[in-house]
Amino acid sequence: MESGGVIISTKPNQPEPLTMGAQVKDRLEEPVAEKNQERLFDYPDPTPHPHSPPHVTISMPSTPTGLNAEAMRNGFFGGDERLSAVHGFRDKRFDSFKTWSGRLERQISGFRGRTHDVEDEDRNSPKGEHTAAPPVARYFDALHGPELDKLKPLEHSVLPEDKLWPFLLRFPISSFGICLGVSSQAILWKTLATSPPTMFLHVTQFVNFALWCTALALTLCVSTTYAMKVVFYFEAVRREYYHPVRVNFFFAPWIACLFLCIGIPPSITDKLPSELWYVLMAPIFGLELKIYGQWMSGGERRLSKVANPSNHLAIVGNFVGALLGASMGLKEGPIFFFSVGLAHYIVLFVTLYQRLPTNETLPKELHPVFFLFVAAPSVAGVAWATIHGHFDTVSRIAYFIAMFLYASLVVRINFFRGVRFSLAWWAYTFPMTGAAIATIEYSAVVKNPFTQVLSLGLSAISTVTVTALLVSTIIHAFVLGDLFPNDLSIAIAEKPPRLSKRRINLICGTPERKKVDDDDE
Amino acid sequence: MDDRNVLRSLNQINPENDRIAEIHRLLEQLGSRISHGFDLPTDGSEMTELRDLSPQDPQTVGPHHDHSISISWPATPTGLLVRENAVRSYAVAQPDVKRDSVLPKFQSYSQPLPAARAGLRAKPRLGKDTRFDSFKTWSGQADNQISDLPSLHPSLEPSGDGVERATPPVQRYFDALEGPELDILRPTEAAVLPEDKPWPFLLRFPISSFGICMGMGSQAILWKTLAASPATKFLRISSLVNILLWCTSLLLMIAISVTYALKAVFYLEAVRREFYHPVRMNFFFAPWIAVLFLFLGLPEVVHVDFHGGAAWYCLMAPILFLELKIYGQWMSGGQRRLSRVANPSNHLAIVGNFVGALLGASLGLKEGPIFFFAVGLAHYAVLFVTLYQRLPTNETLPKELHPVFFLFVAAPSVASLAWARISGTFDYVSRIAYFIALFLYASLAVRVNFFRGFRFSMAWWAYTFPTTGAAIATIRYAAEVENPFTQSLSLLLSAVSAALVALVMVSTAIHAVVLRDLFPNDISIAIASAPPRQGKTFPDLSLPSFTTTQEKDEAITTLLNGR
Repeated sequence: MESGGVIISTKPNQPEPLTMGAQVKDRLEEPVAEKNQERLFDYPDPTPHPHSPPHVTISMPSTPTGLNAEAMRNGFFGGDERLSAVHGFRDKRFDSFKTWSGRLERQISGFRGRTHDVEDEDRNSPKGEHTAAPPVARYFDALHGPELDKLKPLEHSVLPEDKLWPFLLRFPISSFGICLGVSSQAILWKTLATSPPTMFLHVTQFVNFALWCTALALTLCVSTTYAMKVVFYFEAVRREYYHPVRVNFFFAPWIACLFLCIGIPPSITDKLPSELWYVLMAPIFGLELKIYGQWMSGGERRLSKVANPSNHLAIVGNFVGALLGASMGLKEGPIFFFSVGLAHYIVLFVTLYQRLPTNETLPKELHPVFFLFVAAPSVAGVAWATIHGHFDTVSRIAYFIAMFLYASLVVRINFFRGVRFSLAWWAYTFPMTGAAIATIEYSAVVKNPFTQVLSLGLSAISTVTVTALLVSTIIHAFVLGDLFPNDLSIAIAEKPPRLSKRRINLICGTPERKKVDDDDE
Repeated sequence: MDDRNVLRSLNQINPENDRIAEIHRLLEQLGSRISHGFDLPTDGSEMTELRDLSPQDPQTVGPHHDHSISISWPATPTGLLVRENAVRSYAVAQPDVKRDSVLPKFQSYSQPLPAARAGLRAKPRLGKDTRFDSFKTWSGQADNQISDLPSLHPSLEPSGDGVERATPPVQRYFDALEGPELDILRPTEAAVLPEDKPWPFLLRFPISSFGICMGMGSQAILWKTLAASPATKFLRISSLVNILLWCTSLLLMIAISVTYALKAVFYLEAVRREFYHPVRMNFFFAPWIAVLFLFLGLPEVVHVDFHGGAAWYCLMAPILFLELKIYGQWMSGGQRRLSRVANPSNHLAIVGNFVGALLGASLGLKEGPIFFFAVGLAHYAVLFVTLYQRLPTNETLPKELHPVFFLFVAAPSVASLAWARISGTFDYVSRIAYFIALFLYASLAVRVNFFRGFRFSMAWWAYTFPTTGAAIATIRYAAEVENPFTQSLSLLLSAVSAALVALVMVSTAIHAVVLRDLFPNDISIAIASAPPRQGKTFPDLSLPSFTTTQEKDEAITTLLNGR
């Protein structure tokens, strides 16, 4: 520490945004091993930049690459100066994300507050393509956290971080997780009401009806809002689509629709038209072609790099679709999706279990997202049972795998504490519901007190979890008012901050440094 | 620096002489004949001073005792502890010198001499040997002792990942040990237990001894199958062989379990360290698998009441808990993630599922066996792919082939038997699993040349049961597809497996009775919790196996340039 020369001084009399302070602290603690910290600061840093909002000065020995200091300072503070300037006027800072602002590119570079010279230089940059959406490597470089939703310190957002953005910009695609959670509850209560092993509970079908209507209303609501986001802030949607974790949530709307079809109350209709199935599966199929293709065909989005438990969302659609199709009486289509799902599930399962070191998005620690592990095998078990006609050995194998994974996560429940709530958690409740439904189906075949108790227990857990989430969501929405925080993951700059190469290496790690870090772990 | 001097002196060693002894002698000089104050620089100025201490005139320096050779290394940032360390590493290197008297005399830790590894110069100690107290359950001062042995300042001890201070963090196992079974101490490391004398028997008794039970138990099953299967009826094998083998394995099982239970009682720390050892941990499945084997190989004359499968569930419970623990570690990241610890011995953690499914299905159970089959299948797929990939991050995977690779055959062959039991016939699924096993077997058998030249160890017993499993699966297959080819194949594989077991048994007997080194000091549990101070910057020269002078020169130059 001493030799590295790091001085962090906090000016006490100016209001310091807590979050930034935390970020800086984060950065200091980021290199996990204590040893690494020393090495981290061996790298000299070019820019003594006393900047205003965080009030943190990090001074390090100067380097020969100090030339960019001025440009960087502009980059850092341009936005803030602007902030004071535009008070009372129409806020133009969000124009770059608006569909009809018409001046996308200039605005984007305008945010950085660069002079025109710098801007021109940028345009002639070797990359050539000067699109607004950042390349995928930027997502890895600029963001961190298990859901890649936190901005790394020293990265700056192209949208103002200090004030609340327009609601639509803060509305993430993961909101569809709510639809997944509620509609899967509708299915669960439908199963509880109609399945022979739980008949003795005398659950009324009204619960299913009420939940289904809620789920339908929520889906309509969320879809409308997101559709408006697509219309008004297309750039934001595009950036979500290119986000390595968020892209999986683009399956959520369609899976939610499938859930709604499966959980439809018998009082409304018993038979859905089979055309509906094809209509719903078409977008899933298209997305799969795109995303599985990216995994396979290398490039920045190859699986060994982007594998994350949320990829299960991209898999589970196949099994849910197969389940719905088979319950509608179709034959070939469901088997098609089942086999596609199976093949890619094996690949994903192995990759996630291996925890490859190249896997940039896999959380180091356990996180609620790991519950998605349970989703695919439990839904696959039910789907195969529906395709095959009865809950046979193959279904049981899938179901038991799900049970083991569930147990393996439950015994580690302690590791799940202390994770910040986010809307995406909703998506992680449906695997529990799926496991409960599979257990009920299983206990219909193997009917004994143990399986009945198990199905009751799992149903209770899933309902309690959904209720708890509902309460947290309400608290965050109305009491704390932070249900939709600024969605920083879509606001990363397309270029790294103008730091010296060494500084960038310091933050992101060079290949050699990573290797050394690995060795030191 | 004085590179040339040392090189010269090394070059003067007559290559016809015993080179190893010469280099040892020279290194001893390097280690002991050091100017006062060497290696204790606290700042840069002292370092330059030290450089000046090295001899200026190359003519005066030779391989003679009178001349001192000085090697000065760059100052370390951790120089504060040099004195303590010097003592420690020297004490480790030359255990016959009393530690207290070393302190003022030797102040270099430049080279831990391999003398301790030779383990010849130890003087017998009088009185009670307290050096093993740290591993004893009731020594009362376990923690004290442990932190005393490596003579470390407590604040410098790595906190590890939540485990108690005494147990080394998992990374230490990777750093301090080498070899395909992670059971050889690296030359730069020091053991916390004395390396120069045999430890108490219980401390030297490894968990891998249960491999004997697995080997014998599987033989009992093989001979039971040979006697009973229609495909091998023509051999007219008496079921007496099965009874004999089964009784032997039962006795062995009892003896080994009792011994290991004693170890768990008296040396809990040693058991704990074995449990945290990335390779040894898998052998904790071995006792349970051996019990399953005993039940599978039960002679027909013996009748055991399973209480409708309740006994089976009791047997599988510990396996399930171990699996929750170990598979969870693979998945949940941290130091024990699969991309790091994958090793063929992980098959032991998988194969228990299939053996359990086989036993359960042959008891007539339905759901339980499918559960374990499913869990085994999912994790077998993961392990198989990971082992085949040989990821570069995989620290415990042996570079070369090793008998442990025979464990590859175990899981698919037992899985085919288990599935045949579950589904009732030897159907396509069973055949697929069986043929996978057969291919892997063939693929290892044609490389049998690579398996030569390994030091025998008790763990080898565990590697015989896959061949037995393959033989049993072949007999089962031959019962389904009965023709001369399958019959001769089953005979051949049975013969191979029986011969292997006989061979390993003879080796064990020789090692136990003649060489008396069946249970060598179990170095893998004796690693220090913290790395030695000299750490990674210190080059490894303790294996003086240079074949040419050039190689030797290169090594010395590397040493002198400080890499």
